[in-house]
Amino acid sequence: MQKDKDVCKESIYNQIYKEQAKSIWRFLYFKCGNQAQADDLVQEAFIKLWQNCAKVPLEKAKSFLYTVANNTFLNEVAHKKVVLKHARLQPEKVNNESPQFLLEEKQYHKKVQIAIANLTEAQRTAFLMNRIEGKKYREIAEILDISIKAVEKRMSQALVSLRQEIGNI
Amino acid sequence: MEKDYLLHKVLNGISTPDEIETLQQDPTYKSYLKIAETASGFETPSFDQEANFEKITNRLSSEKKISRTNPFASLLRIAAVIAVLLAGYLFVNNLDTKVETGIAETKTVILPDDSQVTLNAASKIAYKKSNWDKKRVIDLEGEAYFKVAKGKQFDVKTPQGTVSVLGTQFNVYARNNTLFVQCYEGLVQVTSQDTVIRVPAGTHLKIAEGTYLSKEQSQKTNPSWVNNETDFDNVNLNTVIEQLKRHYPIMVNVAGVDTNQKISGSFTHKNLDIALQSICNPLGLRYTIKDNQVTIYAEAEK
Repeated sequence: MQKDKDVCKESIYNQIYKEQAKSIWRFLYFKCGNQAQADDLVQEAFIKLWQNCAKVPLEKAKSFLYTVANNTFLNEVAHKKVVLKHARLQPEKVNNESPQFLLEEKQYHKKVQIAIANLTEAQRTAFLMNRIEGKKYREIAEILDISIKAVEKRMSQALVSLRQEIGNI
Repeated sequence: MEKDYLLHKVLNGISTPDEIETLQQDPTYKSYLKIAETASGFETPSFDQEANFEKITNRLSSEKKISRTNPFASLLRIAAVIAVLLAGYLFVNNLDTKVETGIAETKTVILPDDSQVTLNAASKIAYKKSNWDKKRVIDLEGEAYFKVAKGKQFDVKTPQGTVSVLGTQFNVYARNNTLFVQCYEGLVQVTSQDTVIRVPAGTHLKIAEGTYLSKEQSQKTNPSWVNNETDFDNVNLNTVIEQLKRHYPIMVNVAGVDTNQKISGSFTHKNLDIALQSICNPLGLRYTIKDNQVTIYAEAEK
């Protein structure tokens, strides 16, 4: 055990928080769509990490955090139906388009939002980790503790049901 | 399938512009790309990194606070244990002290005021140690010899009556509805139902089935059983056998003998053979001992 890589050291712990907290928070938000709950769960995960810092080596800290976050989420809100409220952050390039086009775009975004909210939690989490977080399949597979093939499958399923859902709205 | 592979390449951010162009030709994949692009434009509400970190540190330090209060909590715990032990001690202290003897066993008990009680075989006494100075009361079942220190009234409670004294030596026999009090020194007062009888030194009193029998006795200084002997004066053979069984672990069979016949004498507690001889010989009876089975039978019939 290298002393300078000890999670129990405050500077190391703070570093882990800076690097991972936001991503874990969003991961939880993709799952539950509730800011306050995501806050609580992130805090819970980091408190658990501190309490177990002696047992968790630095390289395992990230997966420890995701696992604890996921388990706590499953314990607390098993399969509660939630509606996501994604804030819109659109590229500036559409500014010179016609008002008609802008309105259509806006309606389309709304539809995508609703469709994403209606995905299964597993599909939504994988899909948004890739789309919003920009995470590669390999990383998603690691965090969710599934194979890359399974991530591909979830992504495909997510797109298929989003397309259907948007067509129906 | 080929297009699915390309789609995943796009999503994984490792595609070439050519590959994207290929997918754009297919309306289905074109719409997938549009959904994917739109979705990446979304953003979650912002995460307040600072506030959450502060909460984590607060929650962690509040847990430490709890652990800091632990020494006090364990002090409380110790206090609780002491309280329980103290209560238990007081409770046990207030319980009756009990002394019991088995077959062929005598015990001498020194009471808190230095009074002495010697228990004969198969007897029990119970008394309260804690309040002894104020209330000298002892419960007796069986037989016991008392040497009472001078002081307040000393009561011996038996199912047949209460014997009260003020410093003396006396023997109380309370078995089978019979109360037999022998006084060796001082004065004993016996209360049975509504009757109060005083038994002076050198006298004994027998209460059996409501009849009282008071009699002068020989100048002995203590009962014979204290010296490992049981003596009996004009009692049933039955009673003598009962007494014998208290001092020897035996079963007694009586074959063809009138057990109501009266007998006087004594037997030793030290040797069963001699004890049986001293009971049987005067009545012309014979006996056999086999293991712990004693059979008494009339000589004439054999």
